Amino acid sequence: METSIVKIEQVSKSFLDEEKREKVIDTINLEIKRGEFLAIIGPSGSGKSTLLRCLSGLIKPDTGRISIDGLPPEKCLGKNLGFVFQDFALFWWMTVADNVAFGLKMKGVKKWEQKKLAHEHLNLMGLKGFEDDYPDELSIGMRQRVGFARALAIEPELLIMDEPFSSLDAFTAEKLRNELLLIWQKENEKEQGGMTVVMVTHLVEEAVAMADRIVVLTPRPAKIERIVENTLLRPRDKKDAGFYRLVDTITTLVAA
Amino acid sequence: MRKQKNRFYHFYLGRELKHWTRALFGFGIIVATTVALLAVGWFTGVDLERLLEGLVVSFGRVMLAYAISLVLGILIAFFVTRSEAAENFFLPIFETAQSLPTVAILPLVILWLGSQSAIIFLLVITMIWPITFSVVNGFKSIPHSLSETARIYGAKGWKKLRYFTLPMILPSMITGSIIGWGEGWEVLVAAELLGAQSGIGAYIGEAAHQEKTIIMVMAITFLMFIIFLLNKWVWVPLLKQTTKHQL
Repeated sequence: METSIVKIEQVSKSFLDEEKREKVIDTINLEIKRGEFLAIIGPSGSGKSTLLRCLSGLIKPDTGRISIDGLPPEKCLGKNLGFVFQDFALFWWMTVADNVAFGLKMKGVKKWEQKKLAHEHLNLMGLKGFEDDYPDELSIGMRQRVGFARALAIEPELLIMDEPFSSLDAFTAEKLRNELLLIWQKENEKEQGGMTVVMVTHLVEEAVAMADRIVVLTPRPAKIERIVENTLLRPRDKKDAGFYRLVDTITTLVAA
Repeated sequence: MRKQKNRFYHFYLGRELKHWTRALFGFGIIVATTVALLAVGWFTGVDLERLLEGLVVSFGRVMLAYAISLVLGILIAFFVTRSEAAENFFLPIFETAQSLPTVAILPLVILWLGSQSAIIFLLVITMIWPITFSVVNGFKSIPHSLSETARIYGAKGWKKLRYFTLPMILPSMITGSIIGWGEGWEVLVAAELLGAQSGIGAYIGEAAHQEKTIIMVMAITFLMFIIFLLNKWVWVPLLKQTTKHQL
């Protein structure tokens, strides 16, 4: 098996904004290794989310090529992609269990299996007993847990996350980060499968605490400023001197 | 003393029973009104059979026109919201069409289509616009991240329609329908007065011709009562149900 799951080659994207063409992403080249946890960080408005949307096949880049497992991302929609949104993007007219089973239903998985997998992943995210609730009846933190369960239920090879913890309070966010890391590690200990995670964030500490590599983007139009390897041992200690140094290095890069 | 009474109420009646007594009370009022209306009708010598038949015929017309308007309205809203250019082009045209004085063109339409189809046609061009505009709004207010989610998980075709698009626009469909029915009744009675041999409007027209005030009053009262029941039992519960969990 190839070691890289995602290849991004020479990707650029502009948007037409009030009759003015504005470049958002400028010739980005990036390879993402199978099973790694990659964080993309940059100043706000730098095109991080646009890059994620190109990567997930939601929008097409103007130039360049992206491949996931050798396929263009549009071909991966509805297959091996999970996406976690900042605002959770839950379907309010469905119960929690139906939300989690949505991807499976679209895939045509049998009903009983949908139910089984939905319940499994709700258990995994600590939402046992909330299957028949509706999203509006849950706390904010629990809603994002549903968002994670929905993304994980399709057993994605590539989990894409757009600032998944930004809408949560600090305590809930920290708890959920740790849980996600455990799930990711467990996935990758399995003989088959494995899960690659790409996360966009604007929080340096979050990136340093979670990722194997951190891609620092420049302000708009986004180019890769630097890719920082994060070799700190897991579980990572935020009071560690190495942790601080890395946070410092990246903060300087982002601010530059 | 008062405190005790309150406690008694909470312990022994509870909220469930309070709810039930209220429902029962409401139902009682409706039954009583129906009986009263029928009794008054009977005593004043109104031909109840014809009155009810007229109501049924009229209701059938609105229902048929509604079904057509709903399907067409949703289709139009769907295609118009595909592109901004289409929206900019078509929406002003629809707005003009909405302000068309419907009843004014009735004689013309009767000449072309005959009175039966003319009334349905008139109802459709009245009811379709509120539904269309409301559903256009519904499509436009779908949050970006929700339609992205649908695409990410491979929602397509029939399944997307069934599990994503329709539930998403259902509240706006119902809001549009409520306005549509309101305007529909208005036009219906006017159209039937002018160009039909059957239906509640024709019945009122006939009574007016014979200067039978009581029949006119009774017919209008019955019609209002039916509209009230429809709102109370159909539209309001539907709207409540579909927006119950909206975030």
